[in-house]
Amino acid sequence: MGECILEVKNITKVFPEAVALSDVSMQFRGGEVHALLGENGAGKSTLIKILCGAYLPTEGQIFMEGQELPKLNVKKAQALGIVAIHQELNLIPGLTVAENVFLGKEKIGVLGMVDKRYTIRKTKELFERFKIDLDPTAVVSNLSVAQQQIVEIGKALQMESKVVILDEPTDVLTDKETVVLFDIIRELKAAGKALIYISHRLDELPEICDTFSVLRDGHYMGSGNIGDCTKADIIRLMIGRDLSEQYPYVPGKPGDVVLNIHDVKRKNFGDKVQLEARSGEVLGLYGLVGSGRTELMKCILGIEKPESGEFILNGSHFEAKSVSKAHKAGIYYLTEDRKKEGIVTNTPVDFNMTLPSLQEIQNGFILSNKKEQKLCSSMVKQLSVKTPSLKYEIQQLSGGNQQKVLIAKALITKPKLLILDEPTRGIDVGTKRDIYQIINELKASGVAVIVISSELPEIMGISDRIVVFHDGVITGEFAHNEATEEAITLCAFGTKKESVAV
Amino acid sequence: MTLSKRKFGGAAMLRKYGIILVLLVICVAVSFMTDSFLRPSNLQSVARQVSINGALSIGVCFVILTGGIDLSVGSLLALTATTSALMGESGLHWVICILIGIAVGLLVGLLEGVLVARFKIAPFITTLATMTICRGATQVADGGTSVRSPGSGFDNFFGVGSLGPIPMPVLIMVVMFVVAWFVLEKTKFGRHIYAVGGNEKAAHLSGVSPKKVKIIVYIISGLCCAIAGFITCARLSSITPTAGEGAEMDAIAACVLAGVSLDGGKGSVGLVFVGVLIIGVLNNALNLLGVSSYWQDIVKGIVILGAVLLESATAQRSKE
Amino acid sequence: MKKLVSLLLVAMMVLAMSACSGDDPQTGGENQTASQGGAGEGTFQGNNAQSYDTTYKLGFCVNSMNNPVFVNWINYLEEHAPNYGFEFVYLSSDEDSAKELSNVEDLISQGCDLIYLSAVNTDAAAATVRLCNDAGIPVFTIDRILNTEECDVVLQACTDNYEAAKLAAYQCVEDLGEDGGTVAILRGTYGLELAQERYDGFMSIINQYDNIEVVTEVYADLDRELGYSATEDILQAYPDVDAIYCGNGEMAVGACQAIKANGHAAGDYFVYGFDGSTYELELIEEGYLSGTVFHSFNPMNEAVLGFMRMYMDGEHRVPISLRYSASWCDASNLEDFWYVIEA
Repeated sequence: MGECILEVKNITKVFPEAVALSDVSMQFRGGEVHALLGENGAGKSTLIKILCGAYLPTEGQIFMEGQELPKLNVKKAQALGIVAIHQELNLIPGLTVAENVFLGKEKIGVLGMVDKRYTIRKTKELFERFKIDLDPTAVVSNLSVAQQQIVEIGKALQMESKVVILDEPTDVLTDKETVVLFDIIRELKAAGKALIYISHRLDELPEICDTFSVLRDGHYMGSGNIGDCTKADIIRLMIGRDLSEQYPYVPGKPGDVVLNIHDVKRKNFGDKVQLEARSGEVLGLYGLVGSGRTELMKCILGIEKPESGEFILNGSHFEAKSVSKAHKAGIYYLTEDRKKEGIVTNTPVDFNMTLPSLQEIQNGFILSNKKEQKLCSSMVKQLSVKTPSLKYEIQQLSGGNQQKVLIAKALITKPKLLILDEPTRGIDVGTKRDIYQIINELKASGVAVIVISSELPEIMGISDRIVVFHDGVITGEFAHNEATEEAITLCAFGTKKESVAV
Repeated sequence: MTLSKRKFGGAAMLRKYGIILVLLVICVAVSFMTDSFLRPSNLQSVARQVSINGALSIGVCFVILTGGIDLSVGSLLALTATTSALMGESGLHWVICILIGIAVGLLVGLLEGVLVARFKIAPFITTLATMTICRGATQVADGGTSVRSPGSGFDNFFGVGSLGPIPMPVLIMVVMFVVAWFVLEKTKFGRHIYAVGGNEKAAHLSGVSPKKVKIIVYIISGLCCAIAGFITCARLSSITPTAGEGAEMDAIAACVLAGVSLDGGKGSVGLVFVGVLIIGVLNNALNLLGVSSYWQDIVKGIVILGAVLLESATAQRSKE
Repeated sequence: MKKLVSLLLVAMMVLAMSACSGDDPQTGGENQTASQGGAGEGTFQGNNAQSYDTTYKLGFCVNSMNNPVFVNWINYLEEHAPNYGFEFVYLSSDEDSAKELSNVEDLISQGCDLIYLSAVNTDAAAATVRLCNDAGIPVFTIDRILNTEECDVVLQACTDNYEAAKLAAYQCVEDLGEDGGTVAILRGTYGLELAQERYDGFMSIINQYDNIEVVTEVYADLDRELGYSATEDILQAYPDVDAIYCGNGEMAVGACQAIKANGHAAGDYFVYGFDGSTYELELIEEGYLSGTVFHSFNPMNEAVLGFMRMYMDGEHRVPISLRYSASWCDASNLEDFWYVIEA
């Protein structure tokens, strides 16, 4: 293809918690769209941030058109022509499209004031050139998310660029805008720029990308031409992991259906969902971030309101109105966001543990300290929570122990259906194993367990059944024994199970 | 993470109970500067003087614990007392007048709670508005003049009377503090208050209704304003149109001194009592020493700043 | 380290307090006009210097410090009370009845033998005075009359506001001349008796003249800011008004400031004040204020001090009320009144 415009050599990035990138080398050529692929946590965003100057690599070098770039920062990167279109929109809602496109680069007129007409004219020209159908004088807050993304793209187009990075650009776009985007990309390609394209929508890659590189766990796994590879090949490069003994699987003895989710559909999202959770069984819900699993579960708590469908609990209709109603029915949901929705900071461990179950420690209407201490000590023992005392403030504990406290909190409510959302996120390996044990014990005692996880090995390791979601639609269901990584991943990327050839 | 118990204990103790030390130091210092301070009659009058702020600060404490704020307490104090007094003028028995005054306090509290919890209007704005409305309503009701209290029965119960050696306002205030402590420490509802203030979303997912909790604390605040209003009215046998002006500041200051976090979820009502005492002792001391009222405000401000710095200085440590 | 910082802070607070109280309790912190010849402890100077066997502590509770008239009382009493064998202390209630009660309680705690009170609100003050009655401490009042059915007061001193207001009315009649004219009135706090008297006295004369019309009355609460904004509104609504009568000095000053701010010259309007504060006298000199009622507070306070001494010495047959007449002060006799202030 074209000349190599941007090159990274032996890039390593070490964070206090983990090594994000390890000895990664890649080349990005002009006139070429290069896909950067990998699972969640593979290191793609870290690499992009290094290219944009937001992070400094711990080791390694960056070369731009043969010249080494030491100590790159955001301003320098932009000045050199490295332009990024991020997933998070950086627009000012109160300003117009044109003002946002030219933000920071306004033309100052004679009297020191911003030349508005120039801005609008130039924006119009830009949009005409790239066939973008947007009014430059429209106020950004009135636009749809998809249109806002187009404005973000316009911002990048307005800058002088040699390298254009697109981070999941089609996530929020409808088909119509995607067509416009792809035309823009082709134009940029024809102009000789190097394009780096990140996406988890594998199906769109052949249409727009020329080459690809794969990262896994911070390591560079390989590159190739899109045309030469199958989807399955690419996936194999992305995930090729051994299923190890970290997952103590014990087959469940599924009993009656505890919860039946029937024809439930959320507004403007996905399709009608059918799901069954049985007692004594772990049902794993897998999917990429944004596939709608958490929101579906929150429908049961009355936090999200579906536009259709019903919930059937133990054979009878269940009115999913509130959290306390769900608790009374024996349903407990443990949040994926410990910090924001899980722990009550500045309060002790026992406070957090007993909060949903205060009636258990009451004598009449007075809370009994004795009862509370007894209950909490036994839970701490049962779950091996490492805390100096029950009165320790919960935010002082490690992430893993905080999670154990939250699980204890859930167990005290004696749930019949326990929903665990990303139960081992951000937790060390040892505690992870403890939690898997707990899940097994729950299963054995007849509780119906639903586990939501975005970690494929985990979901495969502990579930009796796996249901895969993609954009709010169930694309596949697997029993523990028939599940394979490739099959599940294909479903997660949108392919329905029937068409999978394993 | 190895936070040794001793290191954790020392800073936390000072942070929590440092304010008691401050009160003791002030009392000791003042008793050296003037011998009027420790006279039993003076201590009694200090206790009576703080009862109004004490009653108000309990309601404010409940609201702040949930992460809210109540700026309307001073105005609501005037409105409830004025309503009771006007009912007294129409000839109703003073107990009925009290019930009507309480009803007004509960209703305004309910309104504030609903605006904050259901309509999600920021507490600062809501109570700023009700503060102005209540003050206006008071002046419409009393026509700009003071109104007599509903009679000597009322005056005795809330103001002038005593149970043995304890003046009634002091007794009422102490009972309120005990009940408040009990509710916050020993009941389900108390836990719910701390949970909503500490992390509303986590509380919700634990089956707590943040809406209900917020509405109820504003109702409690309304009740406290009514009681504070009765005490004010009884002490002076009348209620003036400007009664309670600025009282919200002393109530909030007492909570701040006590280490009640304005973000919610943290604080002990027992220490609020100490905060109330500190402000009362300071006022009394400065009066006894003949310091002009403008210097009094400066000293009070310095003390509050100092106490808050003390709290944040010791809080930093425990974040490590 | 942190413990040291916190202890230092506590020490700072205590120091701050003792620094403030380091002032002699008699002088406090506020000095609007210089008070020469201040009394030291234990020595009594002045015109009627005698040595007394017993010194009594006189506690003065003033309604607020925001009118120079009130500050003048304090200065005068501070200087002259020692002549009568009184140790003088004072506190300001900042227009808050609850604070007034606290202040009086604290004055009693301090060991005051008698209380001199200018009440914030005459109804609410009754309870405060009853407190003193129960403690056996005699109460004297100035300026604001309390209802003696509610409480016991030894002596109530005030200006005869009703008669004094007539002085302003006479001046107004003279200024408007044969053709008469229109008058606007700024009234004091609603429900305050002295404000009512100042209004009634003025009206008792004005009502006799058919050619003088009162176009509007506004309650400006004896406050300068409110007087300012009320006058601005009056000038807008009634630009042809001839005279403005103000129920106290602060409102008169506010009115003159409003007139100045709206670009009018001195003498465009006849403005009458009531109190005789330094600000008013300056405005008379400038010509914006046509004249003011000048209280006889200094001789009044002197008399009150004398009666207080008599009472404390055991002679309880002192008058229950002193009503002093006032003088009219305008450009023609301004020099006569200046010296009183500067004394």
